Amino acid sequence: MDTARIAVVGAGVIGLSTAVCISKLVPGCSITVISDKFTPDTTSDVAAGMLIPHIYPDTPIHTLKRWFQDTFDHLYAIACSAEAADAGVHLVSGWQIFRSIPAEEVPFWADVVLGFRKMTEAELKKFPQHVFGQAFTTLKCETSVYLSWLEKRIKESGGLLLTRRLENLWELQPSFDIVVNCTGLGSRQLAGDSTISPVRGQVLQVQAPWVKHFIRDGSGLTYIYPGAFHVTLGGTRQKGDWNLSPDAQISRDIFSRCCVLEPSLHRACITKEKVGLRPVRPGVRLQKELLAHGGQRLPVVHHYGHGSGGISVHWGSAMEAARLVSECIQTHRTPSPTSKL
Amino acid sequence: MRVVVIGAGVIGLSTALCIHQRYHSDLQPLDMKVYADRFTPHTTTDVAAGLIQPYISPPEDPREMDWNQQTFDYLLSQVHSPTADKMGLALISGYNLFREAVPDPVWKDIVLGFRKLTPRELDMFPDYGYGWFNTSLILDGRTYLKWLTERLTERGVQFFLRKVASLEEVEAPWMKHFIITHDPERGIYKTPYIIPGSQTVTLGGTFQLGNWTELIDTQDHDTIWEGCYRLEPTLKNARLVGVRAGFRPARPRIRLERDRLPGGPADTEVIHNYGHGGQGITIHWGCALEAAKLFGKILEERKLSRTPASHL
Repeated sequence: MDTARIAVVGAGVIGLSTAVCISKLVPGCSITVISDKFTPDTTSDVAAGMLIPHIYPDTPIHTLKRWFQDTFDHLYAIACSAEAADAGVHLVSGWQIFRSIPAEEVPFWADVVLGFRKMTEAELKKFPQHVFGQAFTTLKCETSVYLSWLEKRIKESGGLLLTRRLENLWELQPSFDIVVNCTGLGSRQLAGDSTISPVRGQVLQVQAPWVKHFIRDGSGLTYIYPGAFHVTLGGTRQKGDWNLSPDAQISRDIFSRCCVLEPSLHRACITKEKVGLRPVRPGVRLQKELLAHGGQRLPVVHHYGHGSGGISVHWGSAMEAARLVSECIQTHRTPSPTSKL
Repeated sequence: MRVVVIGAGVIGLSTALCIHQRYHSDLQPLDMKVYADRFTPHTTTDVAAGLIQPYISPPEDPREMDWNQQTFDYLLSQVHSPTADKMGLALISGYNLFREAVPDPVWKDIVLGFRKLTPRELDMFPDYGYGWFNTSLILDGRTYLKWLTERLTERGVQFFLRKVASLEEVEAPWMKHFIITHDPERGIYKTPYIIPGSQTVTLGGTFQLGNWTELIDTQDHDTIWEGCYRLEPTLKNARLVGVRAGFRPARPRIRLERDRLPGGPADTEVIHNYGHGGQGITIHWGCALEAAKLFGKILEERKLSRTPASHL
C-alpha cells in the first residue's frame, strides 16, 4: 500500500487521540475517523476529565504509570502554553480524602502529579469524617473542549470525520487497509468481546465558581471537580447498568454527599444531569488482530476498554496504539507488481 | 452610649460589627452610626481582589502578626459553613514567585499546606527561579461589605453619607490558582499578580506611592497586561470586563490606638484604626478585635469614673 488508508472507529477521547498520534507517527497515511457519535455526545463528554489514574487488574502498574506520565507530560505542556484555554486543559489543586488510613498512603502516580504530599492536620479539619488525605496539583481536561480541539487537529492534518454507525468491521473493506477499533462498549458487538460491560456513572453540573479545589473521596464515589464553566459533582458506579437517563433520586443523593464535603455548594445552581457508561474491562485491550473471512484479510488494532481511567492515560496508550498501527503498515505492505519482460 | 464609626470600607464595617457583637448587651442602648463619604461599591475595599496574604517582610509592629493570625483563623472557621459564599469567602491555592531563594515568610504556619515549589512546577514560570505553594483564603471585598452592611443593618446600625491601585478584571474561568510575583527591591504589588475571584480574575501590578489620580492610566494598563500575560499566556483568551483604580491607604505602620478630641465638658474618645495599605482584608478581623478591646477599656474607665464615692 503506497498510502495506507486507516479507519479509526470511535470518536471519544481514545479514538481522536489515537488518530492524532497515528498522523504524527506515520505522516502520509490517510486517516478517517468513523463514529455514530461525536462530541458532545460521546461517553468522554460526560467525564470531568481529571487526571487521576485508575487501576486495571490485567494491566501492569508499570505500563499504567508510563501511560499516565506520557499523558500528564503532554497535557502539562499544553496547560502552560497559550493554547491551554482552546484545548480546555488547566491545572487544578485539591485533596483526596479517606475515612480510614489507606493501605497505600503514597500511590504509584504520586511523583507524576505536582507537589504531592500528605494533608496536614489543619487541612483535615475541613473534613471531620475523614482521617487521612493527600494534597496535590493535577490537570483537568474539559472533555468537550478537548475533543473539539483534537477534531480540529485531525482535520488540519488532512484527516476526515465521518458520522456512520457500523454493524460490522467488515463494512470497512475494501475502502480501508487497517482498522483501529476504539469503540469502547461498541466492541461487544463489533469485536465480539463479552468481557467489556458498562459501569454507569451519573454526574451533576453546577454553577459554583467560588470552588477552586477538587475534592475526591478515596473510594472514588463522591467527588467535586471544578472546571472552567461549571463544577462537576459525582457520582455512581452501577455495574451492568445500561440506562442513559438521569435518575432524580440519584441526583439528590449525589448533591447531598457533595454538600457534606463542601457545604458552600448548598447554594449552587444545578444546571445539568448527565449519564455516561464507562467501558469497563479487566484490562485495556491494546493488541493487533488479523481478521480473516473467506480469503479476505483485515488487520485490526484494538484500542479500547479504559473504564474509569480513559482520560488519565489516553495519550500514552494512544502513542502505543499508533506504534502498533505503524507495525501493521510495515507488515502488510502489498508486494509491488512484478515487471513482465 | 453613642458610637460613631467613620469609614465604611472593610476596616470600618468590621470594626463596627465586632464592637456591636461584643458590647451591645452590655450597653442598652448602643447607638451606633457609620459615617462615610463613600459606601460600597465605591470604597477602596470594593476594588480589592481580596486574597488573604500578609506582606512578605515581617511587620514593624509585631502585633500585626497576631492580627493576621486572628483574621485567618476567624475566616477559616467560617469557610466551611453555608454562609461562606454569602460572605464572599472561599479557599484558594496558588503560587508566590521569586527570582532567587528567599527565607520562608513569618506567616508560613498561618496559611495551609505551605511548601516550596518543586522544579517541575517552576518550569511553568521561566522568569522565576524560586517560589512557594500554599492554600489560603479569598474574601471578595464587595460581597463582604454587602454582607457586613446586612449584619449591621439587622442590628439597627444606621449609615450616613457625610464626604489607587489600578486593576484589571478579566474573565478567565479556567484559572484556579493565584500567582503573585515578588521583587523585594521594588516592593510589594509592584510586579505582576493574578488573583482569580468568584466571577472574574483580577490582574494587577502597580503600587504608586503618592499618586492621587483615580483616572485610569493607559500606561499602567499596558504594564499590568504585559506583565500578567508573560506569567500566564492563556490570558490571551481572557475577556476584559473592567478596569479599576483604588488608593491603598499606605502608612509605615497601622495606626491602631486611642486618642482624645478635647472640647466641652467631656472629651470625645477616639479609636484610630487606619493605614492598612494593601493588606486591609488580610488583617481586618484581628484589628477589629483589638479596636473592640480598646472600646472595652473605655467602658471600664467610664464605669469606674461613675462609681459614686462612698459616704462614710
